[in-house]
Amino acid sequence: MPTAALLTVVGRANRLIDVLARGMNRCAGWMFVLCAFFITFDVLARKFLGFSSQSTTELSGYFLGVGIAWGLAGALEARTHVRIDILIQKVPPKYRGYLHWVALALLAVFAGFLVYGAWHTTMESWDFKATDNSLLKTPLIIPQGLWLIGIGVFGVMAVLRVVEVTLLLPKGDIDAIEHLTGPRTYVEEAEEALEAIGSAQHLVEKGSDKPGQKPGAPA
Amino acid sequence: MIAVLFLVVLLVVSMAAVLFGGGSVAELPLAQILVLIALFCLFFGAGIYIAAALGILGIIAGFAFSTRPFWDFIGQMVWGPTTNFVLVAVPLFLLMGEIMLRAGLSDKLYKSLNLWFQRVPGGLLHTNIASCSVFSAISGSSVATAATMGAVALPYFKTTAYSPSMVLGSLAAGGALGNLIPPGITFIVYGLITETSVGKLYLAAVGPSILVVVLFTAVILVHGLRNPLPQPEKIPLSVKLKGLVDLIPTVILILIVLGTIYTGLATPTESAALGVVASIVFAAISGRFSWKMLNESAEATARTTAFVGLILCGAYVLNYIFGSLGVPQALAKFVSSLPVPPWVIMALIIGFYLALGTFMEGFSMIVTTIPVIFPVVKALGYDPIWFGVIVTMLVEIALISPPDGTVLYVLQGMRGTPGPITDVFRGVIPFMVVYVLAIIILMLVPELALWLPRVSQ
Repeated sequence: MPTAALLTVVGRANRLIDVLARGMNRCAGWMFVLCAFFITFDVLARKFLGFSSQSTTELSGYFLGVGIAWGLAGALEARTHVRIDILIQKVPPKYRGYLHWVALALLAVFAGFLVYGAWHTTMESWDFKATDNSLLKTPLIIPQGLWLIGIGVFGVMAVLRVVEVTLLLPKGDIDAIEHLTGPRTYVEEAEEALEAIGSAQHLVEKGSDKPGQKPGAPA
Repeated sequence: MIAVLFLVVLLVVSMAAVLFGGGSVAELPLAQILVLIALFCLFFGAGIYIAAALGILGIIAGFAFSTRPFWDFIGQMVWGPTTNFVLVAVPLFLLMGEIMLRAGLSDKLYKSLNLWFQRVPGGLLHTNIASCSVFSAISGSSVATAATMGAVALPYFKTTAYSPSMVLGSLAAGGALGNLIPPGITFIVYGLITETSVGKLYLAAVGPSILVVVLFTAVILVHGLRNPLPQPEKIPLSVKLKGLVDLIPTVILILIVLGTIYTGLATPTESAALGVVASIVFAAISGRFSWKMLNESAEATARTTAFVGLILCGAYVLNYIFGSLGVPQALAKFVSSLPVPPWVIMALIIGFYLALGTFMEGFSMIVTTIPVIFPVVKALGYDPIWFGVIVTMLVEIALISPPDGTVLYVLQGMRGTPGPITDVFRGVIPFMVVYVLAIIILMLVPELALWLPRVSQ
């Protein structure tokens, strides 16, 4: 297959997994919301109603583990995973692409080890029919299976990214590469916080509590 | 650049110490450690993802030195810490911060505090610090604190003669209280890695928090006396007292979050969960709740938690292998056998963090360095709780240290009148200086942090 066609295919696969990653990230976020309500309920019930699920510690731990795993791909898509970028910014664009490739490739290798480790652990729990020590005796295969799925998608995404960047490298398309993998700058991070406030501001104006207070548009 | 230079100097100094110090050099696999350090520098220089750099380094070390099939344990190394109940507090406090960022609970807080400060020399600038400090007591995130209070405060300064750089600087400095004033996320991550009680860390942070706020206030007072502005009209006491009513929601939130931790009614994780629910309730009461807003908060929380989680995964892989090779212990033994007093090494560690902070983000800084540095600090005889406070202060300084501090760019993006980012840099410097001064004071008087956890036992 010629490179151009291959690039189109890989690009499509990447855009597809992007959608999946965003969906999974949203699930992860709502798991944390749910977790907050669950723990609150347990605390209040313990205090005022005299009972508790007695499994808060384990269950909210699973929420966290699975939440992290399901957020991994979304964070890669949004380029939230942190890189040290002081030196890479000073490298001329011609060579920068190769450094991005190295960074991504190492991430994919690390993800590979994580997938292997998660697979091994999950299979062990499956073989031994392992449960936790809480009152619910949760079979570990449930949280660990979900956890494995999250890490697995992250691993696949990392590999797909490596392939796409590999194909983009000969074209010298540094903008496309950095759009996929470039480290987020402090300015971008600040903009995200500003956007969040912007949405609050929008609601304020609609509620006409205090009109005319604009924090200023993102730079 | 200064940072890189400092790191090089540090390396040279430690090499010299090795050469002339004697000690237990023979026991240390020096060549291997140097190779690892070199790899580490290479990884960081090439802009490798921090998590991957840590993980791969661990895996390389494992293949090189370990005889056990360590790869079969990677799942366990990662599953344990990422399902730890203590760590659950991190996404919950992040979520609470994201909700409050979008809910705009802070304008009333600012207005009612302003009534009390506007005639003091420095005027509104004091309100910046005061409202940020109060907000920090419900928020565990510095960026959220600076962004929330900045959005409320900056419009007040539009028609005034206040120095723009001082306005922005004081807000950035106020943001840098977000993590230090309990409840902070940095303490949770530190507590998890070092197996220190998060509740005790929160108690220990009280004294230093007050110290930093007092020093910030002093900076503004001096600035206000030097650059006097026309005094606004006097406000009758009744109006001032009435204004306090607006503080009630904030006070209730503080009671729910900090009150439950300090009275032992709830663990930090539980109080974080209560805080999330309470902030949703308050957002609903003030009419700013929407599903869209909650969804955005949830997504942002998931992204941040994932990046922190992945770095933790990498760090735990590295720790496991370093631990099984005995590297931290060997390093700790080696450093404590050096013929220099402990405070010199502590000063070097603090300098190292300050340098790192100019280009590295706080979380990554802690997770990457604490596993190796903590055993050294303990071997030198320093208190783990005390060091936790010091590290958190260093992370806060990192957040506001030019040229790479997220907080600074948040404020630059919000300012109404355009100007160069150097305005923000200039404004924040005096606050950074007194922040470092606070660390020095804390080094001289450790009781400032350690007294409260001890008496409350």
